[in-house]
Amino acid sequence: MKKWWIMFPICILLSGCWDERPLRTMKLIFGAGMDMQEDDRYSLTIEMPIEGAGGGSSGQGGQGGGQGGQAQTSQVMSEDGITVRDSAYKLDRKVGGVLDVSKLRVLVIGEDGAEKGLYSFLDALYRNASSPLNAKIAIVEGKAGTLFQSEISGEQLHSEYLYKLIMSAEKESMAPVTNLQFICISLLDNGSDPVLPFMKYNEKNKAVEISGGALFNGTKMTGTITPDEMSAFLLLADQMGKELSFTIPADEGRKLTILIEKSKRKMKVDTTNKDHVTADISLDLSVRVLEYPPDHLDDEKKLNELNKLVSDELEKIFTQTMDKMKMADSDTLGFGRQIMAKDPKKFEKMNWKKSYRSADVKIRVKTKIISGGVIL
Amino acid sequence: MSFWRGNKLAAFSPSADENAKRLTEMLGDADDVKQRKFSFGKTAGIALYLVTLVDSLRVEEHILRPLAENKSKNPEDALTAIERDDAADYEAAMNALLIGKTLVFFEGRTACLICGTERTALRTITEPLNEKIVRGAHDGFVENLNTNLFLLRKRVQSKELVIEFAEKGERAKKQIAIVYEKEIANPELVKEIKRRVDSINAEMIYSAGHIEQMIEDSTLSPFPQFLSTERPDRVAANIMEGRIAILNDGTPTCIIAPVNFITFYQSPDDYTSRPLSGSFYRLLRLFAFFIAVLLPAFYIAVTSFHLEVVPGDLIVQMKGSVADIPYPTIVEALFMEMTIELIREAGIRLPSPIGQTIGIVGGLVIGDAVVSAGLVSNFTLIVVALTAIASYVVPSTEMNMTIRLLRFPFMVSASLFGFYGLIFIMMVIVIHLCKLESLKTPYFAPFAPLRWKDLKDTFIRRAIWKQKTRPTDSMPLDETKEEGSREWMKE
Repeated sequence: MKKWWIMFPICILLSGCWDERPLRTMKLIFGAGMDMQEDDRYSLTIEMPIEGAGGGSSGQGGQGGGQGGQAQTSQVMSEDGITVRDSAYKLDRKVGGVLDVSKLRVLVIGEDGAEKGLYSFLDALYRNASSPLNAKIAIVEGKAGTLFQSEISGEQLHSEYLYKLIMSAEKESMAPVTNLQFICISLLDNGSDPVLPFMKYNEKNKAVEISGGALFNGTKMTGTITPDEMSAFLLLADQMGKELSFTIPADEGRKLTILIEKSKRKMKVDTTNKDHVTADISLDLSVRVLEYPPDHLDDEKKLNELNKLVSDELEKIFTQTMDKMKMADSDTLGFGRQIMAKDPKKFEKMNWKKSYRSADVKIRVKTKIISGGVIL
Repeated sequence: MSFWRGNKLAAFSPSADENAKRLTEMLGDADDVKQRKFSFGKTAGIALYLVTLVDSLRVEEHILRPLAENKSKNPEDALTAIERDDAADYEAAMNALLIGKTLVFFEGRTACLICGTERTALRTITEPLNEKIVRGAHDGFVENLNTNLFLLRKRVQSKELVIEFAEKGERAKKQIAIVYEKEIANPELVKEIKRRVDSINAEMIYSAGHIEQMIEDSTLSPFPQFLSTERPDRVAANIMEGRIAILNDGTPTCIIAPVNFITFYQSPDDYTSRPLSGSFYRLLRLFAFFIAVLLPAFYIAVTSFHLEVVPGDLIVQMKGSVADIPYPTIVEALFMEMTIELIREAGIRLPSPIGQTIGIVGGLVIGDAVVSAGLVSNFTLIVVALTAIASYVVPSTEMNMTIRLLRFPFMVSASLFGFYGLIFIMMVIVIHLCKLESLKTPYFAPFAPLRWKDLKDTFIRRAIWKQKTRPTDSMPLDETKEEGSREWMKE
């Protein structure tokens, strides 16, 4: 037989289909929630969009969706297993189609789970080549699973809503800019700890709100900070977003809302002291006044007074934030990394996690009001 | 050769009758051979011509009537036909007869006089339908070689413009003209093209495409190595870049070599419009090349392998669109591509009013029905339609065909191996382009080998006065195109 050459096209043409992942057979996961149960089993909740209805433009014949208005747009499923992957496989058994995680947009982790260690939730994702490294990650008060089950008014896709929520929070400096890839570094780093946005479900408004940040010691969640403290942290860490505002109680109960326009941070870590580490952080802020009913911002004396007031109040918030982070053993500003760089031998000898609490952090703030809006 | 009765190189007989008889016999006693006897004083004679080829009025006016009026001493002087020649032998006489000349034999003379009496059925000079432009000249070549050369000479009024003729075709002869600018075109290339044209040994030359296949460097390459055009202005511009044009009698198409890839993307419109708009449309055309070749393959690769590259906002719509399609994307895409090719082919063959109907039935009715029947997804339809539009942007019919053919290997390979397959075929194509030659000059010229200076007329078109040198891919003798236009700016 001289037909042996037919083997070549057969090898080439048939082998390709093996790796095929046709879009039409895929079940895309848009949002995922992970929790740790009391019996140390991982529970996984996923949200999959239902195409055609959620897409908006569904000219698809035969489907008829979209016109009904009340059509279901997402499918939420939940399952628990020994590992995250185990529960994922259990879910896959229930879903028509192949589950695909590569378009995941939001990963939400329950508070209880995060306290037991965040990395064990993420390991499966880091080992998968087609993982969505740009997915947003957040910690939620209570169970992540119930968040996906709960009703959110005006929104059909939980994942889409949460994604937009986190994105806008990042822009307004209410959450650090982070994703699955960024936090991996600080999770595994001895010299710094991650901060993640912390959310909770608001029963009254049927919405989810960003309620500050979650502090970590290594991979374990050890505390939370308020939204104001989150903003303060972002300034301290030099990670200010597009906008950042503070409301400060001014003289005689009158309040002042300011917007930080520009921030210059200088950080100095001094390792020469034997018993403890000292750090100097100085912040140079240019501030715009957003709201101040008493006015008279054109008065030089008044302005200087206000400058002083704002600096003092901000310094208070900064110190308070720093104390909270110390209490949580969360080295979010990465002092450890600085010591590692400057004096690696000392870092090896000392137990940084223990001496972090006793570190002496001095914060100096200098503010300058540069604008009072269009009415001066 | 037994076809010829007698020796075709034999000398003419003194008897006019016998000469005429022999020639008639040579033509197989064809019925359209006409003999007209005349007498000029004492000398009698015969005028022989093919009635189907001559302009009878001219035979009458310039040969028979002057001879009958008998005003001069000499019969030769009496003839008023402008074009006159002496035939050396029967073969020459025969060839003259076959292109519509009239042979005049005088009794008692062993000579044959050839008078030009050809009939020319000329199409009027109109703009070529497949190469329309907005600004610039609107004339186009016709089927007659002389008219075409007239158009060229008229356009390039230079003493350095050389026109060389060659007659090719073993059985039926056709004239081929090689045109070039003596002081610019590289003599090596002229020699090479003449050598190739000389070697043509076909029975008959049917068209310019015929010649192209005989003399092009690589016949199996998908890329055309000769630029075919029906526009005199395009030919003139290329001749002025040191390229060589080949025209032939019977087709309005002129082929030009050596060319490079980018030549096919240069339209006369680029040069007549202003540099900014010229550059914009040049970029647009090159962009269209990538769309036409890669877009369906990219779409197939994305939907069957790499869904993670689709932005999250888009993927829901995309998935909704392909979810109910009963077969893989490649089948959908091939089905739609085939439909479009069918519509195109049917549209060309049919008379134009019906052609439009086909376009509407094919485009609108099938396009709409196919989607609502759930056979093809919306996205595939958009992709295929975009591709079809993009492939018609290139201002050359040959390149258009090339592009439409090229996308099929891309699509198949993308359906098998995703982006890897896409890149694989792309590498094969680029390697081929780099290796390909047009008349022994690099085809992918300003890019590979990279000639920085020549890039001025590729992706963008710089202002005419900035293009001081000719592109070097045609190896011109004189590289300077212009010097010091816009000197007035300095004053």
